[in-house]
Amino acid sequence: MQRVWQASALVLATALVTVLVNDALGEPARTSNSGGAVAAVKVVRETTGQGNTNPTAWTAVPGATTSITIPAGAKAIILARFTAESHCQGGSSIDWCSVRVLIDGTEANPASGNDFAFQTPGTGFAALALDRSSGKLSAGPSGKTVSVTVQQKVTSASTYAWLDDWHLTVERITTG
Amino acid sequence: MRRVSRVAVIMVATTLVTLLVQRAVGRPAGAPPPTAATGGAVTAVKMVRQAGANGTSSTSFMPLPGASTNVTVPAGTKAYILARFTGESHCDVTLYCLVLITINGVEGQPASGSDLRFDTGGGQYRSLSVERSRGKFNPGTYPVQVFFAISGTGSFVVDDWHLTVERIKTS
Repeated sequence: MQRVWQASALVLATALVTVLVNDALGEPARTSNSGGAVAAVKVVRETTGQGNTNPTAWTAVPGATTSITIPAGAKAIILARFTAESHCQGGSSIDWCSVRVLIDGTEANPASGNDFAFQTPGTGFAALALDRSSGKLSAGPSGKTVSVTVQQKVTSASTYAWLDDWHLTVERITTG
Repeated sequence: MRRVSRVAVIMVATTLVTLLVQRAVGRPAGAPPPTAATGGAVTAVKMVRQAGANGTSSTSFMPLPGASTNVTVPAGTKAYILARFTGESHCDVTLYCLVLITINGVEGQPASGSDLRFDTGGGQYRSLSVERSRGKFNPGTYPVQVFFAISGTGSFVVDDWHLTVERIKTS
């Protein structure tokens, strides 16, 4: 019986900690979208490593850009996936290397801005990934070409970001 | 002729070493083989994303708040469901941080349970991902849910995540 009480206390304590942690973190901004078929896919890939020293402002990852066209009169959601070998070095324990994806010039969702850590220094080389997606985009009567660009930055001038062997996949998803 | 013999010896030795290494590090006896599935077009995509953090200290899998959606397979069709989860992980635990995706209440393939270490403790931040699939599904509506947990003690925080779920046509 004592065991049951101990187990119950453990479960309740765990639940309490989870609730407290989530309360402390606040209510997050969450969005969702539903689409139909994947109507088009574009890929861009690179096998040459590119270091970027001191990009404390958002800077394009060289070559990691493409465009995708929404036909006239159509609507679409654009989904982008970026995977890369990453190496974030230097800086201090409070620094990080960040990546974001712009779709049609706007940061795609979740739009985390400077808050998103693609990697923190001291974690070696790692193949990392992120998915990002737009809201519904309308083409209008003459169609619309949407640019997709990957950018990176670091949080301090002493942090060094390295991206290699990356793959950018962009999908056009039909929607109503 | 001697050269041919040397080459043959090297090839046989290399093959032998490769087989021995594979046996040493390979699947344990009785482990299930990889599973495969072949589908057609992606006919629907659902996306849920969050620019905010949720954490857990639970050693039992708990739903990651909001990281769920439903996929409907239309009448007269069959489909596979493919789910991909990417997120910024902060694993500050003594052992590992775990992520699991269920599709219609059952863990997607490969169903690794707590064997999939999404991240290792150390308190670093990085953007990690996992992909899971299940099927074939007959017409109906199927929930997809991401769970998270830890092994050991500490806290696991997931931030800035994106859940992508695709319906893949099959016969």
